[in-house]
Amino acid sequence: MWIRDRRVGRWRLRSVLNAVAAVVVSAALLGVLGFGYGTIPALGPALDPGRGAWTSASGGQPAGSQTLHVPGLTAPVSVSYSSQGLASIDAANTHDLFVALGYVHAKFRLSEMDLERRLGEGRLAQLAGPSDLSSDEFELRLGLLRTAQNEWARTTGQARAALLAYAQGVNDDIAAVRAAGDWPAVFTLTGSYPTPWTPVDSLVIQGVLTQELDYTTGPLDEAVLARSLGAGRTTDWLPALAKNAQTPYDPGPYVKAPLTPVAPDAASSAPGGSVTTTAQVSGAGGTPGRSDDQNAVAAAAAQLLDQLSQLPANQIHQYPDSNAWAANGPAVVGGGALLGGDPHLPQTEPSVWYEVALSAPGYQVSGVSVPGLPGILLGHNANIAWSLTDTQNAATRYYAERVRGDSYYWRGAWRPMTVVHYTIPVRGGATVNLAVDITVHGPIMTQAGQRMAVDWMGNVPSDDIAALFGINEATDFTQFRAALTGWRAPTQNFVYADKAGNIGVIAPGYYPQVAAGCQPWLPMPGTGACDVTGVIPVQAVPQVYDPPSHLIVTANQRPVTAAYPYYIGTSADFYDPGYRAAYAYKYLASHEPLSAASVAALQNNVTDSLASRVLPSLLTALGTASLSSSQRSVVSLLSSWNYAMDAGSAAATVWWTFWDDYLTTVFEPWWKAGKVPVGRDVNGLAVGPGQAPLDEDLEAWTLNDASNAAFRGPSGRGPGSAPAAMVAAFRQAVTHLSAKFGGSPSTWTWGREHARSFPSVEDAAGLGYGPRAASGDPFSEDAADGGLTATTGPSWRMIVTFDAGALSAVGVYPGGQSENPASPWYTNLVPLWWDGQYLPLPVPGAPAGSIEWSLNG
Amino acid sequence: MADQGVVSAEPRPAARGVPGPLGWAAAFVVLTAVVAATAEAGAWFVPFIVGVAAGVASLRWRRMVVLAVFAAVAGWAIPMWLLALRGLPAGATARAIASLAGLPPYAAVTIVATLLLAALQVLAGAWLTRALLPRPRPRRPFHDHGDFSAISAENSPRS
Repeated sequence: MWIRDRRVGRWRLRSVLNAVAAVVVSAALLGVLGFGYGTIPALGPALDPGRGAWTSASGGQPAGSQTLHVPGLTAPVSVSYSSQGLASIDAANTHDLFVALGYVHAKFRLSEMDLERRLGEGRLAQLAGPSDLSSDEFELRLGLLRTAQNEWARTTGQARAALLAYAQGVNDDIAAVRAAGDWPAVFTLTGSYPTPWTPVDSLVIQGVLTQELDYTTGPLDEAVLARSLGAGRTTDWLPALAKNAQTPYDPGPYVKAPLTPVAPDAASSAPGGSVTTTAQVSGAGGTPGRSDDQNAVAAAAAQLLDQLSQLPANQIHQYPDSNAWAANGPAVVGGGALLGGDPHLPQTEPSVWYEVALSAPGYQVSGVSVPGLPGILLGHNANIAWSLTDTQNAATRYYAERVRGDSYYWRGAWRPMTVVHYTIPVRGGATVNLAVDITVHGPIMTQAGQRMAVDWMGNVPSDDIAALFGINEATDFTQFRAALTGWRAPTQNFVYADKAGNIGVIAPGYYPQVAAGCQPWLPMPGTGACDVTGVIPVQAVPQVYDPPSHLIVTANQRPVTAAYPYYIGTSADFYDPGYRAAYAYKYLASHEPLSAASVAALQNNVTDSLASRVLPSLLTALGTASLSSSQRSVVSLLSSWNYAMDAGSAAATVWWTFWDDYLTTVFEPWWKAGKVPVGRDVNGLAVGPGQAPLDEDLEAWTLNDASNAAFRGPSGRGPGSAPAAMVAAFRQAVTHLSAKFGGSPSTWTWGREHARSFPSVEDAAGLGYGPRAASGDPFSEDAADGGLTATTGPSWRMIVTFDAGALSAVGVYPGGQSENPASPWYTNLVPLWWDGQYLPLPVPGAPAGSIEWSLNG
Repeated sequence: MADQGVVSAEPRPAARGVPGPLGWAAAFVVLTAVVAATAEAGAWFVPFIVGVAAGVASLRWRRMVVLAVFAAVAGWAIPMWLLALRGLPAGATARAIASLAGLPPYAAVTIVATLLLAALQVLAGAWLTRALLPRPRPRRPFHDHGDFSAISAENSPRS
């Protein structure tokens, strides 16, 4: 009987365990499906085939003509689309125009806009989890949100009205999407839906763009290098003025005028978050720490570089590759004016651009807009055309602060720091509290050891939206220039051409100046001695109007000569080496009279100008060297090469590998001897073609100083001269390529080594474009930067010609107008861009195509 | 006298209370329609409720759980199919969802994951019901004569 009893007992136990397991599993399953767990989203509502992420398919269908209700409108608005998705908005007034633009942007780019504002406002971790917490902490410390709030508080007039109207349009779309339930998939999958759009969100997006173009780590890198290599060598190898030949667009003469004061409420003002000033002003006293100790400063710089290395790609400025050229008069077919612009930015799907023509009484503009912002950033109106390149001047100053408790030492007294408190929601994790200490210089970016504050010109409120409307409506260079006087950051070269046949360029913005004797290329003491004393007055910033050469070329090169009377940055912080600018000047001058076709050819040109300068010296050196038969076959490849980095060129692969190995041969021994902590910031510290000053040094030494001491290496047993180093690097390159590709050198085509890739903004595998074998390199006009799988390049190509007053404009960008990967307009423009083709820009006031939306209020 | 060894050629009538093929088909159609309609309304948890109901029914009709699983899968497949029928890019959307979710970027991944969610809910619901509802104790082994229910603890030699 006891056997039977045991069986019953086991049966009962099993039943109980079974019931408990069923309850637990069911509850867990329903809980996870209904509410998610950690970073796992609530899969039930997310994958519900009737209401979940599947409904995003509706945004992927081809757009058709329809009537839509947009409550913010005061009168009907017509939005038309070409078959490629290019848009034209025609409104009865500018209020409705910007309502409609906000609506259309949100219709096609809501996820992108929400991601960008989250990035700037430190809310990415709420969406993506702990992996993005470092980005949120960085942004909240730096203060894009605080700056945007400052800007909004002082925005008036047309800019204020436009920002409000734009936000209304975005919110009208959000309301419509909420009612229909067909959210873009990223919202449904995460369960985080967009909050209403505000003008501050738009200004945050302006700040994100500014940061990506203007925030640099140059002084931090230089501090680390100075400690490793020695101050003298660092200054010699990373000089203010590049050692190689440069082609500035503004040759002078220059104006030396008194500095303009910086707006007083820069980064130190702190609206938003909860603010406290916890310390008491105690006057001079105590024992200030030795904040000027170079080791402590270098350690702090390294610490900050560590933090920055954890940020998502492209959050700070890295690759200078933009082009904008203008020509007029006898240099142009027909004698009018011509403008070519191709700003090079991180290439993503969807793109940073949305192409559109805007029309309302008194406002007729076409070009590319930025989703999240009202207006056209690059384009033309009936009278003028403009494009932008980054000026690359040093706009980020770092200060080593003396800190005691909650006070910092400045101008002989201990001052209370302003502390701003934030809470950062983290998906799948605990909410994080963040306290940001702010000194008179700006926010403190390091948390331990030597404290480092950053005084970044991007934190100065900048009336960019008003400036944008000013240039959108300008009819001549005087108005264009006047409109840009309020533009402070990011400093840009605004290249201009007009209907009357004039061309020009001006680089407005804040170029911070410090007292003589200070070293702004390094972190400076925060005691007050090296504070920013003012900025270059607008009449003295780099600018040119109707130059005698009839040509203007901007390609991120240093815009002025050594005679320029102000400090604007060093070769490391952070001008382009100038190869593209030099080649463009040469090409344009040799192809006069210029037409749209010749400009298109240059925009798609992949000639490596550095190769054309250095290769003759390499071939000369190899001519007297003892080479193997395979090495000689490689030499013959190089001898017949036209310097074009074509995907099918084997010589291009050899050249690039050689140049990389040449840099390594010469500089790497010094780096190793100095124990440069390259891992802190690979982009800023590692030896390679991405370090403009090293490219410039090596080019200059090769051509003019072949026995420079650098060739002997730190041990004195290096190659000893440029020819010897080149031969060694060449042999190394051939060995590398033989090992990698084997076979005949003629099969080592550049396309096997080099590709372009346009990742999705969410960095989701499969939603980007590529990698695809590609031509180009960082030194070619059609630049490809960011490594052998390039992710930065021409983000928009535009050509505008004014011929006898008649305007013609074409453009293309590597993406599509829709962010929905299922849409036929997701990457439909990429093949055109890839093949060097262009589409006419939509004409303001005219239908872009046969697809028409009637928007009614 | 009838030959006891001869098997009748007539179909054996269904056991009393067991649905015939039409009954099973009708149940499948109804459950599928319920799951599809509620999915369109955003009630993603209905397959679980269907599983609970199937668990109850399975005490009498064991195959009910299997039928409910297939009905839930079909019910969730229908809205996807309707997307495609309406000319919407269902496949491309599925691929995008997989990518955004950090899964391999293939449409099949999302489709399978979606249908698996429906099936899992049914199975969990059915399991829960069957585990909680009272069920007969196991029959005693062949060498025992009597019913377990007749065995009392008092009769145990160890009690």
